[in-house]
Amino acid sequence: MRAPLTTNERDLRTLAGIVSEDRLDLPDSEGLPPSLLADLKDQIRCDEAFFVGMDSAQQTAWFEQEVPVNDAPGRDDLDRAHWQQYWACKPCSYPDRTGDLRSVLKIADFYSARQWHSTGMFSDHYRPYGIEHELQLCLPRPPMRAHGTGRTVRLYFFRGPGLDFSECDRAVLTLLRPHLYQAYLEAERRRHPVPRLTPRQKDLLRLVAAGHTNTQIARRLGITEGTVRTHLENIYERLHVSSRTAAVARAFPDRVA
Amino acid sequence: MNTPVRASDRDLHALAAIVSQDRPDLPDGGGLPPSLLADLMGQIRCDVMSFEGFDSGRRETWSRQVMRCRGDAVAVDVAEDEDHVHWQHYWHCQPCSYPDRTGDLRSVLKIADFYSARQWHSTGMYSDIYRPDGYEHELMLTLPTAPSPVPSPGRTMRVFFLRGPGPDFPERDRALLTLLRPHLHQAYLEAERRRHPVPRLTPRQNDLLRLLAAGHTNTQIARRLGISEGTVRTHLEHIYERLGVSSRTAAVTRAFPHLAGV
Repeated sequence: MRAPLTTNERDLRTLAGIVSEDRLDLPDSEGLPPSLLADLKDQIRCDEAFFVGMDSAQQTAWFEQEVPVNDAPGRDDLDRAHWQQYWACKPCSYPDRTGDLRSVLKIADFYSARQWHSTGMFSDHYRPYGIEHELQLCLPRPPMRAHGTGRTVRLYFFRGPGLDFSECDRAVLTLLRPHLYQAYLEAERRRHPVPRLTPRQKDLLRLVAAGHTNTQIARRLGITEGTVRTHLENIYERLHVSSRTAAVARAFPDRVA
Repeated sequence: MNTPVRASDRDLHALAAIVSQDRPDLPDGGGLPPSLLADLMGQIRCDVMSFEGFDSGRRETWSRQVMRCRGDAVAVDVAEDEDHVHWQHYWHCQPCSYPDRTGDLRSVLKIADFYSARQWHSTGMYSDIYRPDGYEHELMLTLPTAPSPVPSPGRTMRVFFLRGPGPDFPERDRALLTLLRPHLHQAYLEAERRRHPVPRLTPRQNDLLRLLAAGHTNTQIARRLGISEGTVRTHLEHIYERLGVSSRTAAVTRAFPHLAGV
C-alpha cells in the first residue's frame, strides 16, 4: 500500500478550529463575523483583510469590511480611480469576464512585477495605499436580497512590498471558501431574521416551493382547498408578501438564485 | 506581532487539489465520483469507506457505495437481514443516531466520543454488526440529502471510515474531514445533478426565471428586463413548455433543483 500523504496535524486542526467555531459576533453591516475576519488575517499573513460586495455594473461597493480599519485620507478619490481602471486590470475584472468565481487569484497570475507596476490600477490605486501583493477570492452568488447583475462578494488580502503570497496561502483559501460562504450566509440570516412560521405553515410552503398546486397540496395534507387558501393568506400576511413565489423567496432566503 | 501557526505546504496542496479537481467520473448507482473516494482513502487510512443514504424514519438504508483498500468503488446492495438488525440497534447506538437526535449534521464523530472501548463492546450494534465484519473504529461524517420535491425528514447521507482493531483515527483525520465536508457535499450534489440533468434554458430564460424565483411579479420583471408584460408571458410559456411544467413555482423548482433544499 502506498503510504498516504500525511498532513501536519496541528495545522489542519488550526484551520478546522477556525471554521468550526461558533461565532456570535455580527458585523455592523453586511459582512463576516469580525472575529472570523481577524482569524483569517492571522492565518494568511497580510497587512489588511478586506471583504467587499462589488457591483461592477454600478461601479460601487454595496458593503465594505476591513481589518484593520483603513482611514487613509483621500479614499474617495482612490476608489474612483479603482473603478476607472477596473476593466483594464486583468485580475480585478477576471471574475466578471470569465464567470469563474472559484479560482483564488494572485496578481502574479496575470502580470510580471514590471507589467503590474506599469498599470494604471497600480499607480492610481494600489501604490497610494502601499499595496504590492494581493490574494483575491470570490464567493458564490450572494443571497437573493443582494443579488444583481455584476455583483460579486470578494475577500482580499493585501501586502506591501516584499514576499508575495505563497501557494500555501492559496490552498488554504481554496479549502476555506465554502466555509466562508456559509459564514457569510449565516451572518446575513442572523441580520435579517425571517418571520417565524408555524410548522404547518412551513410544511405547506415547502409544497408550494416544490411546485405543487393548491389542489395537490390539499390532497397531500388531507385538508380542503379552502383551508389551503386560508393558510396561504395567513402566510402572506406574516411575511408581508402577496404571491406564492414571493412567499417562498422570503421564507427560504437561502434558495440563492 | 507573534508568528501565527502556519499550515504545511505540501499537505494543504494535496487537499486543495482534491477539492479543485474536475471529476468527470460518475458512480453507477449514485453517490460520489469514485476518483474522489479513492483520493479520500489516500488521505485517511482505513480498511473500508462507505457512502450511505440513511432513512431513520423508515428505518432503511436506501443507497450504499463501498470502497475497500486497493479496490474499486462499488455500489453494494444492502443485505436485508443485516440492514434489519442494524436498524434495530440504530436508536440505541449513540454515535449512529446522534445526527437525528440533535440535528447536528456538522460534527465529525468517532465512536470514542460516546463510548469507552468496554461500553462499545457491550452494545448490540458492535456485537451484531461491527464485530462480525472485524470493525472496531469508525469516523462518521453526515451530509444533508440532495433536495427532493418531497420533504424527507430523517433522510441523511453518511460517510463512514472503518478500521479494525489497533489505533483509533487520529484527530488530524477529524480536522481534515471537517475542512472537506462542504466540498464533499458540493461533489455529491454535483454528481446528483449530473445524474438528473435539467432541460437547458437560454440565458435570457434563466435571467427571467431567477427574477421569478426572487418573487418578482410579471410587471416588475418586465420593467427590470426592459420588455413588455406580454413578452414576459410569452417567455414564461416557452419556459413552462421546455420544463414540462405548468406553474411559476414548479418552473423554479424544476430549473433550480439544487436551490429547492428548504
